[in-house]
Amino acid sequence: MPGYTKRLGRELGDLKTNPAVGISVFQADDFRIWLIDIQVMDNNPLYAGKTFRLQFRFTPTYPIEAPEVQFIASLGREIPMHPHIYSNGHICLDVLGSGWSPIQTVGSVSMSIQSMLAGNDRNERPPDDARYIASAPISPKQTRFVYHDDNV
Amino acid sequence: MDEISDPSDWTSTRLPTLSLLDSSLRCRICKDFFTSPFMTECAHTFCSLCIRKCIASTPTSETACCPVCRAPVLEIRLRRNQVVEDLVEWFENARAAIMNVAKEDPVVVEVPVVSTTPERASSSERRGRKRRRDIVDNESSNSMTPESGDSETRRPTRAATQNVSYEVKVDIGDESEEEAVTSDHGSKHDIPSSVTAEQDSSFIILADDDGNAEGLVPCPVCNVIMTPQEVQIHLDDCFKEQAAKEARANQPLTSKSNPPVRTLQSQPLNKIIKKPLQRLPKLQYDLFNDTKLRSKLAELGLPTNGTRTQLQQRHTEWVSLWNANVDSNNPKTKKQLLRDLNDWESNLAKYAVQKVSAEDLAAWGKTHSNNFGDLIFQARKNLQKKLHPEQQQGIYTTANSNMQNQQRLEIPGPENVRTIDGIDQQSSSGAEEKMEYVRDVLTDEL
Repeated sequence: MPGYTKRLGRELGDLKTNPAVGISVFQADDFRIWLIDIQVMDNNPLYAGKTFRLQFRFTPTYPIEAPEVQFIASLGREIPMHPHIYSNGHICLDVLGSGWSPIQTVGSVSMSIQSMLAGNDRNERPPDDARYIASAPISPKQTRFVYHDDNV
Repeated sequence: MDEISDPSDWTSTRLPTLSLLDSSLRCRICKDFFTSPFMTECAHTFCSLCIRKCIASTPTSETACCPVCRAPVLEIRLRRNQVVEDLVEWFENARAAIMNVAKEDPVVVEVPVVSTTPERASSSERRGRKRRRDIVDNESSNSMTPESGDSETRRPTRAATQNVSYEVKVDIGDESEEEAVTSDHGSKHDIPSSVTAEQDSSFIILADDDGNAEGLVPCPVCNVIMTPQEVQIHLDDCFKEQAAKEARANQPLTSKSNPPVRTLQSQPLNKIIKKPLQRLPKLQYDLFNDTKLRSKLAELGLPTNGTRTQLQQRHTEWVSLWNANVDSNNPKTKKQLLRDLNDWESNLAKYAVQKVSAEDLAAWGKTHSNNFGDLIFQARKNLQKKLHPEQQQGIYTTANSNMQNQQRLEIPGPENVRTIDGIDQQSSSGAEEKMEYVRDVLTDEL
């Protein structure tokens, strides 16, 4: 068993036995793609009562390299409105790119995104949304985001 | 495949706090028990291979940082963390046994403390008393038996029995009689009920301060929990089994029959005997052209096929694997390492092939259907132009000289022209009308 599947197996067990509030595993059939449902627990009117779906994509280089994380839209699951989340689900968040550290886990990343949503009060997309999604690569990891805005 | 152990295994037992110990003995990168733990300058410990891979994954050595605190990390400044390595080994050895005890039904094991002898100390003093007994024990064993190996072998045994209120002492061979004498001497006044096994089975079971003789004990050979009486009966069989196993493994009986007792001093000696392995240096890949890099890989006995990136990745991975293996107490053979490298590479390749899957393409097509629509529209427009070249030829040649006119030419609004062929036709006729107009303007100007 390669190292990364062993680690993912542990993470999955942990996510299922001690789930964090508002974070649940929707689908984790293999060690390639996981779908995690997250809810924003405080009473942020933007996200109250809604559930969003995150897709994690792993490579054998996990956890040395970051997984590919994005929101996906499906039945009853929309892409949350946020100035750092593009309408195709790509997320501009430093821990998913240059700020990644191998001690982070699926749970900790989900929590970062959850708190990123909780701290937001702007019902808007990034200013360059239309331009970005017109030419966005399939994988958000191929985009070189510039993390300049620490306010949200 | 062995079962995946996890710190959360402890939460449902009677010793949930052990999950903290369990998790602190694990590498935070691979979440497994440390393998050849190495410490950074910022005092964080990781497996040798994990931290080396982590450092190798950064573009330059200056950008490498500690995964926990992001302090700069230099690979040459990593230091072996010997204490942690020993702790991990001890804990891993004892884990199953402790787990078994911790999972016992509390009613059976927790016996109320009853002072059985009048001179017994109160429970608050017991700790100090026990320590004193240790000292007496050691002194007596040192003075009575000149072999210092005796006290050495006993210490670990003591450490291995955790919160359980009894001690099981394992000793094989001639020393056992001497052992019995010394321990009797040391702790005679302290221990009211010491259950002694038959001498020929060479086992002595001592009850602890609590006089908890009816507590359960693990078999010192196979770690199965049972009452002391059962252990005595069980041991003969267990030993026969163990002996048979070891005969198969061609190992001397004594080396394995007391597994937790391993003196730390003997360990480096083993290592010195083996020929020392040399760490591999990292390469500045910019300084190597493809041919040089290939010959470098061939020198190391690695495959030399693949693209430049693959060659670099392979070399980087090999250096990490190799150097971590040098750090290991039980290094693998080069053949095994090569197999590891091969596994790693085939895993990467498998991923690369499946990276763009059919569903990806379908999703891509869906999200960009608007773009495709526009492209189709453009193509149709071009086709229309081609179908009526005789009308437009003249205009284009003249219009090219005049930017303003050309821009006006391209104006035919796409908003009129969408999808349905009928409308397409209509709008193209509209475009022709405009072209007529342009021609008029041009001729007027000329």
